[in-house]
Amino acid sequence: MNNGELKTEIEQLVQDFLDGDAQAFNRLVMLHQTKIYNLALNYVKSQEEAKDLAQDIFVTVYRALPKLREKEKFTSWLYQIAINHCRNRYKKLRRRGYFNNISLDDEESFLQIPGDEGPEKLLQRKNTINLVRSTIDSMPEAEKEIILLRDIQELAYEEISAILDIPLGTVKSKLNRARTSLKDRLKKFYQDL
Amino acid sequence: MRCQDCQELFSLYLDGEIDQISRSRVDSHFDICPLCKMEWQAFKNSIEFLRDMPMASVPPDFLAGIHQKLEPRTSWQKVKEFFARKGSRKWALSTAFAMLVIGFATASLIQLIPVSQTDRVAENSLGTEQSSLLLAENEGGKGSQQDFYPGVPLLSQYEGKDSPPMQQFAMIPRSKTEQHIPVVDFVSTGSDHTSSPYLDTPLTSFSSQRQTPAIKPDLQITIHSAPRAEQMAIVQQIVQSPLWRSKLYNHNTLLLSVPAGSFDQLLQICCSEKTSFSPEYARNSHYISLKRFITVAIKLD
Repeated sequence: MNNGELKTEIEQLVQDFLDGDAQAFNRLVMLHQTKIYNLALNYVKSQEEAKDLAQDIFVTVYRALPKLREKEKFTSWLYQIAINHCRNRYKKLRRRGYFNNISLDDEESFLQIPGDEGPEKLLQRKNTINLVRSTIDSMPEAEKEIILLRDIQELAYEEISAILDIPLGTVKSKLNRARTSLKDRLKKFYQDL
Repeated sequence: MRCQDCQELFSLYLDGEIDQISRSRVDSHFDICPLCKMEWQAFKNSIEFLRDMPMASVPPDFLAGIHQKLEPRTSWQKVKEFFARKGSRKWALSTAFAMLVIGFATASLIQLIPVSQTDRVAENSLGTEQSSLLLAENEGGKGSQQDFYPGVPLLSQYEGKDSPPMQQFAMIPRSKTEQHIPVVDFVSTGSDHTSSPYLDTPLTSFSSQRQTPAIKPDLQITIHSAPRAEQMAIVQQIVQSPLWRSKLYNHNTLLLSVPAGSFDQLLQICCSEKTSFSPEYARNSHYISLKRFITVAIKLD
């Protein structure tokens, strides 16, 4: 399914839900759950918290969907809700000192690395993934957010502009700055990449 | 093209969002600038690795959990969910609640434990001994001019040297069976004060027939020898005043039950050079207790 078809299907599902089809919401969740769950995971670093956070995001979507006026902007609207939830939960957990007790090793168990590489290569790749994740975590909040939306969530520039409520030109310049910053931070590990 | 301009276009170049002219300029720059080409490779590798990073799979009961959250929950379910979740706040609240329960239980147990009679006697005797010791210390302190309450005048400073010692009355329980009608041998002033409704129970026990009154007066005012007429004028004023209750005790003593608020008026009548107060400090109403009634003995010298 290409992007155009996906967009049309999402619009149809939103309309079906508003017309009273409860199954349409389940389908909308199935289409977005992996990305929203991983977005949450990038903020809260634990499966349990990420699950709870992502579920809360969809509960908010379910309750607020009847108020959505532009159905074609469902995905941007969903990400706006998701980003707000993630920011709030992240701040709340940080205040409680939650992240002091979390280590990146906890994440390894749920990362399913594809490929038929040998154990040595697999371990090396896991280490590199952890390194990149911890580098992203160490970045300023705004830079981290724009990289997550573009390079992990694979959203279009226009969608990022709508989600973060900033002009398109600002998205482009901020994204280049964030990516350059990531490259500089990872420079010493290039041989691993 | 400068290196900085080239590197500012990396992001658009990678995403294919760059126009054809700019792309050609960047490509040309890479041919002449190995540093920018190296930077570009690092930039590209970083982002491509990021894009290739695996996604975590969603927990199997994810959708069911959303529907569970959408269902209305009872308060009991909310409490159960709270305790089912991980987190330091949960433990903090649970610990606080447990401490509260233990505190209440301990306080209740302390209230229920009876104190044995022997313990009470021991406590009392200990208290008496301690009081005696303190009194002894006080006495010693007084002798050595030690002031236990700095800033508060000593009682002895108010008592005049020539003031008569206060008559000591014993407290005797009032007998209910014996009813003594007082015999008034005081010269009547003409007022109807003896049958005044003020003269009720507190003073009826005083009688010239009984030498041991049931009430110990708080204060004694002695009107010293003067012309008898002058003494009688003061007594007359006292007796005629509706502000207090008066009763004759014997041929030269009058007992008054004065409301605390009217004590100043009594002082106005009695405070002259020819009267003495026991205790002397009672001349100043500032030292009079605010209790409801003061029993005053007026004695003619």
